[in-house]
Amino acid sequence: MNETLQNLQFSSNTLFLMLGAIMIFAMHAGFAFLEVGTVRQKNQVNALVKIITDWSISTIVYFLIGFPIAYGISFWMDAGSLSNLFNGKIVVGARGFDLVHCFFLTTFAACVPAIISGGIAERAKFWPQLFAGAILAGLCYPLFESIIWGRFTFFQDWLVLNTGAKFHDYAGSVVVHSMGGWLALPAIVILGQRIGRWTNGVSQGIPVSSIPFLSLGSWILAVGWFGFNVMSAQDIAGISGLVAVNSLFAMVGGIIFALIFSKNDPGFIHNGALAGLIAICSGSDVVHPFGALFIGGIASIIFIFGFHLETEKLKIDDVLGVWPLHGITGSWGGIATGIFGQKFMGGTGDVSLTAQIAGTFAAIIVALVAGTFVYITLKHTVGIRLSQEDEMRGADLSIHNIGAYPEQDIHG
Amino acid sequence: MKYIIAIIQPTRLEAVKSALSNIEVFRLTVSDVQGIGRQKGHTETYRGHEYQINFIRKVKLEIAVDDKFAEPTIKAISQAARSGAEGKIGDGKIFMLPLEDVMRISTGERGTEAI
Repeated sequence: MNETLQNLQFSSNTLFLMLGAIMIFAMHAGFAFLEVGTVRQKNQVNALVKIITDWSISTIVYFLIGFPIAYGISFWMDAGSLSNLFNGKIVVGARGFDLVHCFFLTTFAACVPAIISGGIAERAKFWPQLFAGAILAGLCYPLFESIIWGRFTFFQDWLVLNTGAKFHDYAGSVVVHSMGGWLALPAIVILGQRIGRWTNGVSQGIPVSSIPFLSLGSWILAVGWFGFNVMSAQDIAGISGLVAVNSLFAMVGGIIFALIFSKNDPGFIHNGALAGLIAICSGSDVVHPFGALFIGGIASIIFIFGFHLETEKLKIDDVLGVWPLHGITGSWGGIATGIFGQKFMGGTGDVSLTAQIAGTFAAIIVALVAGTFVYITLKHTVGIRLSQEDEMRGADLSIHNIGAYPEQDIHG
Repeated sequence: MKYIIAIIQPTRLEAVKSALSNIEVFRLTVSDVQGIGRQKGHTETYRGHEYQINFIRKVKLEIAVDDKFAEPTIKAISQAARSGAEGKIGDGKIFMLPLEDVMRISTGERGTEAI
């Protein structure tokens, strides 16, 4: 009887993580379509190819390097042993738990290049960016992951000693989203503005190609997000309906606040949903649904004003707005957990604001240092930017030799 | 023979086409065009950035007619293309040009025969 129960436990957990992995894998279609709709038509094919190839490279590097760094488990063994691997030990009947656990966490790591991709769109060289994605998803992201979620506990131990609580990031507002967004910032600045974004000091809006496509991207991301957050329990016994409903409320908070503060702007409304979801990842298991509503709503306001500040005042040409969206609202999510997680705010009270701030700023520093190092090195070795002529033709024809709508291009 | 070019609101195309059918003008060429006139442009906003749209979409009709059809044709177009009874800025214009010759490619017919 005990053996049957244990079998059921192993198989349910493997299924649980695999379903989560599939839902987050689906979110990468969302990243793709968010970018396809937001870039000009001449760069749509490039957006699609970048997301699917970044995904594939991330899978390999995370399996070989990233997961072993973060959790101390590597997969150099025969297939029979692999299917019995459970938390790095051979446990008969483990149903390939560690493998599917790695698959699940790969979907997080692969978000990092996918996030950066949206910021540097329409002007970056293809291969250098693919290489940068491999370094960031295979090395930089797992290093930070290892000190927050993984095997290196010195930072969390130090926080517990000094603040009484660990840095709490349930599903990765900070570890995944702010890491991606703050890595993207140096990449975007080092790459420079797209040709024609500013002429003689006057801001020139570059129109998006398709609001239906970018909205579809937002929808796909939002649906998959319930796997991202809920399945972050990583164990079916730890599943929590609170996480699901908090995610939902943060999302609708993001949408409603964006509706009001952007004066019914479709771009901000669809990105507002994402801002809410990004901000709630961290505290989705410790805040109250009404707290989540405001975490999401405030995230949306931060995104709207942050995007304006970034693109119009600081003149940083962040095509999808990934720094304010993933970076700043991700950081907000980390800090918000320390506020809305407190007992007097209706939360569970197991968090420390000081620890949240410390963890959030640690991510910012790591991301800025790593991003600056990787992109400056690439810029001065292989170059990261398309030639002026290639950029004007569009990345589709320059890199892939085909446009998004070949039938329209062929005349007589 | 006359060559009539009319620039109209895209939304009035169906009404103009049926008005022309009523006076037995069945042959016309239609194209999508953009232009600037008294109607001026409009602004669109996306993620807080304003986009000035200067060129407005219109539909251009081109019709070749015998002299006796010329006046009824422009009358039919002008009535059907008007927004409301009063008409509005942006309803478009009709140009009438003398037409020197016509040839039907399939048969080689010339002049009024070919119209």
